[in-house]
Amino acid sequence: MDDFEQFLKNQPLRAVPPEWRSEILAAASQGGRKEIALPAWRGWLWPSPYAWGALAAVWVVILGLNIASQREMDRNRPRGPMPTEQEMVAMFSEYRLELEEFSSVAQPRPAALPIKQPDAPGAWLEYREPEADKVCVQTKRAQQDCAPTIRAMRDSVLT
Amino acid sequence: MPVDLARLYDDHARALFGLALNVTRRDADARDVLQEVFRRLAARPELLAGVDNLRAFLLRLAHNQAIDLLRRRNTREKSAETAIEEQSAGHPFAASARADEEGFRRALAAALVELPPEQRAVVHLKLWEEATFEEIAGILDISPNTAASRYRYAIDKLRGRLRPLYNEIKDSWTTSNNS
Repeated sequence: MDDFEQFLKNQPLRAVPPEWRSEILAAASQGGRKEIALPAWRGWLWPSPYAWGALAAVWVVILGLNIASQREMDRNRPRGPMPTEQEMVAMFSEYRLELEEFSSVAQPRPAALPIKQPDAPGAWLEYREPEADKVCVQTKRAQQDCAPTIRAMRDSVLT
Repeated sequence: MPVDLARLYDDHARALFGLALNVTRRDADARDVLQEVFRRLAARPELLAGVDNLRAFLLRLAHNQAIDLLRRRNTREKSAETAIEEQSAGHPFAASARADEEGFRRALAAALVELPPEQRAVVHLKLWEEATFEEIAGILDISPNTAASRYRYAIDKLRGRLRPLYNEIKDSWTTSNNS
């Protein structure tokens, strides 16, 4: 400690105002009896109790939602044992057959569109090929693609 | 375990008041700190069970209470008025009949206000409580190295601020002693 620090140290501090003694001791003994120990968790919320409290509340809500959703998932989960692989394949095949059957009933395969009379103007321009469900439209490319089919169709109609 | 509050007060109140006043810079706050410390001791005498260094323990209680009070005060009333009030009130030093000495004490009080509270507390404990850095570390819940470095920073600042006044007083005292 050098001279400067020693000089600071020698500066005397103020005394406690004497009238405080009785007041503080009286207040301490009165207040002390009434004190209710604060719960330890209150200390965790320092120094921004409202902010930390709000954050804790949000976490509690999130946790609650999480637990509720897990219970919901558990309720929806099948209770019995899981089917074996063979059973799964069989079920899938059955399902596929049912689906095919249903789709064939609901949507019959498209038949050929009514074909204009071969003599009618532009009759060769539009033809729906029944097998491939292919529509030829009035474009150069379509005409080239569909020409053999149209020719065959016209022949079958004429004969 | 009954606690002799009056005896505790007589033995330690001055030290607790000095620290509280140096940290809070307000008489009213220092009084609140003192009252709260003694209220806690009255309410929970078991706090003193197993305490080796009673003075250090009480200083720690007072410091924690003063810091809590400062935080509450800063969030409540963060204004320029508070700073001005702090500089003018809560003078922690005894009055002196000598004008130059009184002037130095006021300048020292003003220079201490400019220090952060944590440095102020270290300076107070080191200079006016004559605590070692280990004891200061225990009271403020910091490491001894931190206590030492805070003390060095604070003393350098005080030296820079008060050196001219200090030299002037020292010279005048030397001259008066020689004559």
